[in-house]
Amino acid sequence: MAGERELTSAATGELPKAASPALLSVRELAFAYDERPVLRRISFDLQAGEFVGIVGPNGSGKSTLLDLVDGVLRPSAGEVCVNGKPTREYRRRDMAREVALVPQHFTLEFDLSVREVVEMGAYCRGKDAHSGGDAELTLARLGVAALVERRFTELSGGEKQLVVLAQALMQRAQLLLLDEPASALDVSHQLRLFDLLQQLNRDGLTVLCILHDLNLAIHYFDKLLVLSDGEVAAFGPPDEVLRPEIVEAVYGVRAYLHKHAGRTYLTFSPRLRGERLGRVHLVCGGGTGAGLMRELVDAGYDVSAGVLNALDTDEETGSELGLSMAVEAPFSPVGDEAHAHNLELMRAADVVMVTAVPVSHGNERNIRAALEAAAAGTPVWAVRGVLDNDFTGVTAELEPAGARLFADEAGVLAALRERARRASLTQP
Amino acid sequence: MTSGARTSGRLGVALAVVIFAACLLASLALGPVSLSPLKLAHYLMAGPGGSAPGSIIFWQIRLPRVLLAFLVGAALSVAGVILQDLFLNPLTDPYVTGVSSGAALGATFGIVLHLAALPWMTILALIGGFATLAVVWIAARRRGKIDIYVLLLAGVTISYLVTAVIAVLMIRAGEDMDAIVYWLLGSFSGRSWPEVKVALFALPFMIVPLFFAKEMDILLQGEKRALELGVDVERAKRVLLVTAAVLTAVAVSVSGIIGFVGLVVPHIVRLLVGPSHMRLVPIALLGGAALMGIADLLSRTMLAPAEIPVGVVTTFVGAPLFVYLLRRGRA
Amino acid sequence: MSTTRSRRGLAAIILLSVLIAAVLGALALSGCGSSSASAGEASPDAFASSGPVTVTDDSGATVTLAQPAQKVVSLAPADTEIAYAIGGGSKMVGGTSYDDYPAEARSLPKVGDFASPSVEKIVALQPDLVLAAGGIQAGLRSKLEKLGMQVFVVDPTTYDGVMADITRLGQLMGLEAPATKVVGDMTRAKATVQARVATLDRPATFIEVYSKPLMTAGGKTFIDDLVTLAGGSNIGTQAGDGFPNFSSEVLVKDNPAVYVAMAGAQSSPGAIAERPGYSGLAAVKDGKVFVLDDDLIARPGPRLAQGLEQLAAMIHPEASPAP
Repeated sequence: MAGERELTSAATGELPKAASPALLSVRELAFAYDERPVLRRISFDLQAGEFVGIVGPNGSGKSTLLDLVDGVLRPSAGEVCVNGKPTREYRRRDMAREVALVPQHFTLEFDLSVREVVEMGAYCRGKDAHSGGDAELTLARLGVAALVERRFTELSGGEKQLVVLAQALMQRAQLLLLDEPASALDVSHQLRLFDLLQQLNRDGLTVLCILHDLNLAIHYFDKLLVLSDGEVAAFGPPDEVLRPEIVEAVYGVRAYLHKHAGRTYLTFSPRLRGERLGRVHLVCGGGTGAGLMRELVDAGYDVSAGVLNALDTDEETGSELGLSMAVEAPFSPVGDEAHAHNLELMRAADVVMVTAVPVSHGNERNIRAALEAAAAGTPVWAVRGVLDNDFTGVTAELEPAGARLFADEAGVLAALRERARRASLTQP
Repeated sequence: MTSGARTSGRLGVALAVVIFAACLLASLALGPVSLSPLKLAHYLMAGPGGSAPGSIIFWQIRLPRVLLAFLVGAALSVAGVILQDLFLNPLTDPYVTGVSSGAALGATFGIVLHLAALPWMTILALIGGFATLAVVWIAARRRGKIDIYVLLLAGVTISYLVTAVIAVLMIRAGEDMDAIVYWLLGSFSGRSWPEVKVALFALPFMIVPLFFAKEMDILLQGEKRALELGVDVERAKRVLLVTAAVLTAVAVSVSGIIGFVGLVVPHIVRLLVGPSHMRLVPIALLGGAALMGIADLLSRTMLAPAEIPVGVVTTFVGAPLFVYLLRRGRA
Repeated sequence: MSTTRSRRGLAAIILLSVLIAAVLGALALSGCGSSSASAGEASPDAFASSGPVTVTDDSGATVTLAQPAQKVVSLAPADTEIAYAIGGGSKMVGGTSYDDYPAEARSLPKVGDFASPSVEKIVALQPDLVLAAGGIQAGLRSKLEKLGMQVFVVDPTTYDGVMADITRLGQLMGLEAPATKVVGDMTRAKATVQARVATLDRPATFIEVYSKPLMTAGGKTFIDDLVTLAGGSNIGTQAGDGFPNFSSEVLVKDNPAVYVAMAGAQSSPGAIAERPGYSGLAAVKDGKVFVLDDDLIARPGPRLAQGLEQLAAMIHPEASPAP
């Protein structure tokens, strides 16, 4: 059984640690519905007190995994052990005392009160159950004590979800499984629910929870189990496990990791396959380029930028988005190396865009580079505002050099779309 | 819809007992031959031996018939509760499992083989009922579990099949065809203590669901949720299905096929006291008994001395009551 | 059950079932006995053995043959008996599976049972006359008539009505003389019985047609007529016409002096006497519980005379010759 810690000798002065089998141990688990395989070779352990999330695309087998952990389904191969005992050896009532499950969907079309529904959770406790006030206490803990005498069928989706959670808590099991518990909740209730689960976890409840919001997953859970196509793609702390490469491989979308106010979060953009839309080079800085960067990236273009100073907000955005950039040291004017790199990037681009970046002696070489690109035949599109923030006067040369001027970013993007459209029409 | 509008549990049971007692009294006191309450009490005290026509009527004809109607009504209602809550389908009646048509087939064989004497008819009906249950059971077993959905389909299919077989037997039966038709048409006419003794066999089975009240409540959320909450679902299904089958087979074997009560009484009681089984089962038991008793009372009294088929009366009594309750509106 | 829609849907279904049940109930209440039509009359211009024949049958329909029937199919055992009794055995080309009297009738080609006769088989036998009972479906009748056959319905409600039917069938089959003889025998039997019982009391009599449910012969049935002719008073008429269910309680209250069960009910006097509630009946105490072969009182044919005599012997043994 994995997870056993070795006994340390008293001679080293440390207290001997008891061998503690994992609360949940999954070994080479496989499951198939009739002929269709759903899970393959799943192996992981869960220690008591852990707070673990399960993420993965639809159809990756997450709900099935919970059913196998709860013993509702029997493995086709492999083993699931709870407290050291395989699930198939548990009688249902005993299983319910160890593991409680909060399902994603639940139906009850009969006229029962919330109290009656919650008290059903105590069934598995049998004679141990201290009924009566328990239901109210549990509901109070979830912040919904007021619902206790209401009719269950009259509740909103979110309220029902909390009642079913209360029902599961009445089982007083060690391990709580949840299947997308926040799917019916609005954002404030979502956060409340996860805060609550965290609290329950700190009070000793082991939690294994399926969720689809990766940012909530990163924020709340100690470990994440990433399932993809019936297999474990990764298992570990969120930072290790939700790296953009893994997210892309598992979900098939482009992911970007951001850090903001001490928190990490992911954003996504759909990945377009096969279409080569082209490459756009941005001359920007001071935050004028961030919006365009994201738009262009989302639209599927290759984007480069330069020259940007390190620590400039556009440079930070660009680096988060993984763009190729010509970068100069912070607060320094554009040097030769950076300028040369910038020219290289522009040569490789299909369009050069210039935002309404303030132009001063420090970055006037960027405009010169754009003029060179224009002379070489690359379309240069600039936002008119760049002319107004020019301390050097160099931008006045843009229009005579053949650059197109646009009133704003929207105009530039529209022109880009038009260009792409025409290009697709003339393609063989 | 507030919970206050629903009759509370204890009040519900008390009310049910009162209604039950009232219907019992009415059924015993009223009939094609009027017996004054004084005479009634007198006969009761005197015991069954009396030779006065009134005493004979009371002890040999009316009392056993009323008891039989009450027992059959109770049995069918409890069976209806069980099956409706196992199938989670409001249109379920005790006959969907095919047990009733199997019992009818057994009785038909009895008639055709001229074994119409009472013990034989009942035995054959019970054998027929359990034989069809066995067939339907086997059909519904999937990987050691009973698939309720398949059970329902198999039961309905077997019913049709067996009914067709009965029809063939009827045509070939010649003069016995009438006997078969009359047997199938539910009735309490001509039934007496021998049938009551058979029906008493169903009494303990009416109590069984009370021991599974919690499990049945939890099963209202579906089998999967019940498993998750710790219920041994397969065991509960096995016990409850067999119970419902026994109740139905016994009822059909003594009084033929009487419809509507098993379908509607559970709904009526659920509308009045809610779906919790600790209340639902005993009140459905009492309510079904009372309804069948009143229906039989009307069937033998309204056009006396002629009698109306009791199945028609159960519908006429039960349906308006049911529609009224539905309209009053209960979630 | 929690949505208004499913509730209303359920209510609609219940209402529909109630309607259907009401219709069925009404049909059931109307009893299973044959509805009697006005008695037909013999046409004045019916000739002896040849030429066209026209009669009106018990359903009120006119039956016309260009000449007396040569090939006859019967759809009811009673009709078969009548046909043989008036000497028409040689003209019979088909009968039902239930035809058992006389013995020769058993070898007739079968056209099915009376509930669903095979039209093809009937047509294949090419009869000119088809004999039916009261319950024949209108659709079947018109089909047969369209195929060129005449249908004669025998559905009498009295003993005299049976005799009238025999007479008419005699005309249709060109066998007036034998028919007259049969009718004559029946008339004599009736007169004899009537004479015997004329001055006697009419004991309350119960005819059991079926036991579970208890069913009797009510008014407007020839069985009821037989009881009256035999000198009894049929208590079954209280329950209406036809063949209604009868309350055991009222049976005990009315305390019939004579109890006659039809044999088809699979009973014996001993078993009947032991039925719950029967011990106090005068009929049981006096040993006047009988079982009668239903063919003798339930078939509207010539053997009704025997049935009448047996019935009279049961009701008034004191006035009847020793068996």
